[in-house]
Amino acid sequence: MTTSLEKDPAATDTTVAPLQVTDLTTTFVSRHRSVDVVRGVSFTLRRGETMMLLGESGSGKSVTARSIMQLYGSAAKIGGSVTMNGRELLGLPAPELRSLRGGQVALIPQDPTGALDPLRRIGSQLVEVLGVHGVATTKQAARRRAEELLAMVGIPDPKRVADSYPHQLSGGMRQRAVIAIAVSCDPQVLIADEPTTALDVTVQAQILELIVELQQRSGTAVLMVTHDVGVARDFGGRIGVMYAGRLVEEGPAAQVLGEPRHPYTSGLLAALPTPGVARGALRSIVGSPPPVGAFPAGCAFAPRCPQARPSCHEQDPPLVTVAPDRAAACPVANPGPAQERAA
Amino acid sequence: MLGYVGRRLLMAIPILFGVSIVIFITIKIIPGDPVASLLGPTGSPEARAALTERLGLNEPWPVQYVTWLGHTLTGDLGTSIARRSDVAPMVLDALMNTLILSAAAAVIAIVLGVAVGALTALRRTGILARLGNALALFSISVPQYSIGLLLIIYLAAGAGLFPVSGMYNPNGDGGFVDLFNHLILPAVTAALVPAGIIARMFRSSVLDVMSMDFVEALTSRGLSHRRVMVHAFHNTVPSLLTVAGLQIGYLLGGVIFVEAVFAWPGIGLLVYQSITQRDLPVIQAGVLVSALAFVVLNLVVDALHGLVDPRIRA
Repeated sequence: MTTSLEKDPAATDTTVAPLQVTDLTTTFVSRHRSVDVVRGVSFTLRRGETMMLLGESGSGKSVTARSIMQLYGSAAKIGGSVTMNGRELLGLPAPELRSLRGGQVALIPQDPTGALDPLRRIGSQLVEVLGVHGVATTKQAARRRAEELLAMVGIPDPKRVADSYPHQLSGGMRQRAVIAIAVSCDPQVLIADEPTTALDVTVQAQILELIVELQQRSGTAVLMVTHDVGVARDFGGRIGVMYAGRLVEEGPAAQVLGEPRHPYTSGLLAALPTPGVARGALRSIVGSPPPVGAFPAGCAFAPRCPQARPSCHEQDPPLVTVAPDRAAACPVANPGPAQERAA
Repeated sequence: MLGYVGRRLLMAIPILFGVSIVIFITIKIIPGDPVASLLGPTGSPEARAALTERLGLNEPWPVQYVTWLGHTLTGDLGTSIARRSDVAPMVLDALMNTLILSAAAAVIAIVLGVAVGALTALRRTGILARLGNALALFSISVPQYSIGLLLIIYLAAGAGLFPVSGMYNPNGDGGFVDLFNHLILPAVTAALVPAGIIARMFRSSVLDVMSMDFVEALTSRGLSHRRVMVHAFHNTVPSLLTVAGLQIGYLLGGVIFVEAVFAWPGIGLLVYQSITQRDLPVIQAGVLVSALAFVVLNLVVDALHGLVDPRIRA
């Protein structure tokens, strides 16, 4: 598809991860101040794997996703390293970045209505992306491919939908169309930023199923951003819990949600209603997350943490392995000699 | 799309009907007696009675209205009291001249407004953007007639670059170049306020669109900045149409000052002169024709709107 990738020996090497993020930092700079929003996030996404970034608003999960695609332009300074199949993405020249975006990394944004140009037919928006990435060479081929893609994402009458404007479709149909555009060039990494938040509950499950189905069919790695613990639980895969711009806990979804190690994750889960348990059993986390730009020294969660130690207010604990395949950034979660996590 | 235009056309009919009633009533209630102004102070009571009878002025108002409307619909706009000639050709000529002036002003206003608006939106800092903002504010705030007079004094009378007034040189060939030379100053004068308003509205519309989600979504799909900007500017067209339509409508009505200052033989000047002469048929016809032009303009803008924005035709 993209010639630059075919020349890259790493592309054929299956041991290299489709996406590796190392010590990612995102700082928004304006004339008057700069604000750290993402502060040293690292994770690896393997082929066909799903990684969930779970966190509240302002935790930096969406910014992490967008920083990978470098969508902020000059508004943000991005540090650390983002590699795809071993190839560094940060600092790529604009033309290569363009062929990468939508080609190898695609984004499914939160609100399908906003993600589509309201004045263009669905078909033409799909055809445009196919053309930009050179997937279809003739107009007819692009149009045929567009209809195939719409059919693939479960749209019953792709011809009609291709000729429709976004406002003529339901929210669920619109999100399917947006997903069709996202997967149109067979990306290796699909970033879904709260893809179901703007949808009706009944439609949410269908869209999540569709993403799983597409992932299983093509082996795409999926990075899903969500604030919804329920979605994270249903989706499985790995999970990364974010708080105040940092990854505070990481591991297989079932384990992290079943047996959280970080006090923040525990608090988050305790705040969820459980079927059959009385209303009063819900516990909220005391206080509120620190505002972006005013993160406290030490562990950002310490001021709200019931188990905080004096040292927590001074030193930000690093993300360390606490069990096989699991990591947490908390001394409480990690009794005994701390061992810095390797990858 | 055709259905949409058809509905708009049907909606124009009651609007025009209402306009005709308002015009008729306005003419009736403004002070001044057309009979007296026709006959002059020396007219005898018999002559007054005869003329009142001939003009149908002793009929009840509704009857007068229906008679007037009937004549108007058949293209008979009456006879000018002051000029003793048919109103219809007079008013149509004047309307054509006004349309020429308004069209020229509209082109200048839209081109300037879009250019300055886009510049100030996309380059929010820098000397050019500040200059653009200041110019837009200035052009909105300064009265048209004073700008018109300044242009006449310095560029026409002073520097001799342009003719001072009128539409054609009486000794000229009446060709396009002659018209163009006469057109520049009044068109620029008339365009200033609309240009400033379009610039400010277009600026905020560009900022609005650039902050919309689809701009980021398009970038995330690998589209070049140029392609993304094509989408973005396409999305500013509906609001640009709205503002430009309003401003051109305002031009049609507000061009009266400019026509008076530059002695441009348009509908504004004609109505203005007829008011001072109490020439009721001309005033009536002039206002009606202006209103008609306004309604037609709105129809065109609505149709264009529907053409650009699929959400509107539904």
